[in-house]
Amino acid sequence: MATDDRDLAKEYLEKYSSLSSIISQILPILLLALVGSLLTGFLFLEMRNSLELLPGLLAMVPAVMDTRGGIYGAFGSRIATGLHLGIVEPRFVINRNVNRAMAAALINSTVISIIIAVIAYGVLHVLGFETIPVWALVVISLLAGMISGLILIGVMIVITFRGFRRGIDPDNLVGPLVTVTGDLFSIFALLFTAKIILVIIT
Amino acid sequence: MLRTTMPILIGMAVLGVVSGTMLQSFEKQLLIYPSILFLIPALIGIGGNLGTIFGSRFATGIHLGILEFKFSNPIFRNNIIAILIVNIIIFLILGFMSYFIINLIGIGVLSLTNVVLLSFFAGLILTSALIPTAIFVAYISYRKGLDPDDTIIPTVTPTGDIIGILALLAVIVLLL
Repeated sequence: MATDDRDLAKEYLEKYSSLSSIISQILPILLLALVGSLLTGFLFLEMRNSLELLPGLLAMVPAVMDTRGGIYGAFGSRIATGLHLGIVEPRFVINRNVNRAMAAALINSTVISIIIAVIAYGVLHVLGFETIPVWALVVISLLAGMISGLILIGVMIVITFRGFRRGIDPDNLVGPLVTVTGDLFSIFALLFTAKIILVIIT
Repeated sequence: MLRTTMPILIGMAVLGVVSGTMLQSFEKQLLIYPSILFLIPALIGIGGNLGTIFGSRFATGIHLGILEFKFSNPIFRNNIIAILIVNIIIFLILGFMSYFIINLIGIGVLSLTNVVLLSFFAGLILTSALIPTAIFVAYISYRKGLDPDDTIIPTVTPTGDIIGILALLAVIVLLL
């Protein structure tokens, strides 16, 4: 085990830790992420009208995106560490460490979705804004969190595994993946569940 | 795993609401310069990405047992220098890109120099604040035996959001 650890550390030092390797990997990834987030920005502008149909929904958007980034950023960081430590193999088989990280992410996401909806409702209520009922906010937040979370986990695993096999450091991929795909699917999922709720309410 | 993350996440949700409200209160000033409004998501996005990459790399370094919290350690040093170099390049690119996009849409009032300088300095302030935050959280986690994978990213992202907005507002006040 001790020699194993030393080998892994040595491999990491050689492959992933030089200044040029970090910069040459991060820069193109960030440029792609930049284009992605600009596109998401446009999508967001396009969808603003639909979001305004359900008062209270817009107030949840930044918090939903922020916490999503934290939860799945932590998930990805765990996967990346696992790959570097050799306790996660870059193959699509059932792995205890991946399962545990996945369960933690989904549980965190569920709890925080409810908390966000309740806080948003409370703040808007105190400030005297009109909102849809609190149960509707909770349902939208929960469902959207689940849908985007599952998609994000899938995307994250596929891309970091493939990348790792080709020598791309998963630590460099996690952040951009979370921001671009996370924001994109969060907006889609929010809108999708909001549409359903809109039909139920009216 | 859950006990470490949940308090951080709740704090993060609160910080998310705070930065949203802060933005709201500057809405009028921001609406005069649509270019700046356009810069905000990209600035925060890249800031978040840089912070997350840095945090994730630090967490791996700690787990592999090869990261030490001193500048003579190559992992420690290379990560900081690499992030700073990438930061400078990417925010210059963002400045140019934003300028051309907002002029394409026809909402630009600021000169190219102003937009590029805004992006560059706001980005530099943001990253200069994010790196010490990430290092601090990494160090505390390391000392307290918490998993850095669970702590660094969830604390760095919301901090970056707030600092990003503050940095942009500060640069606006100084430059315009």
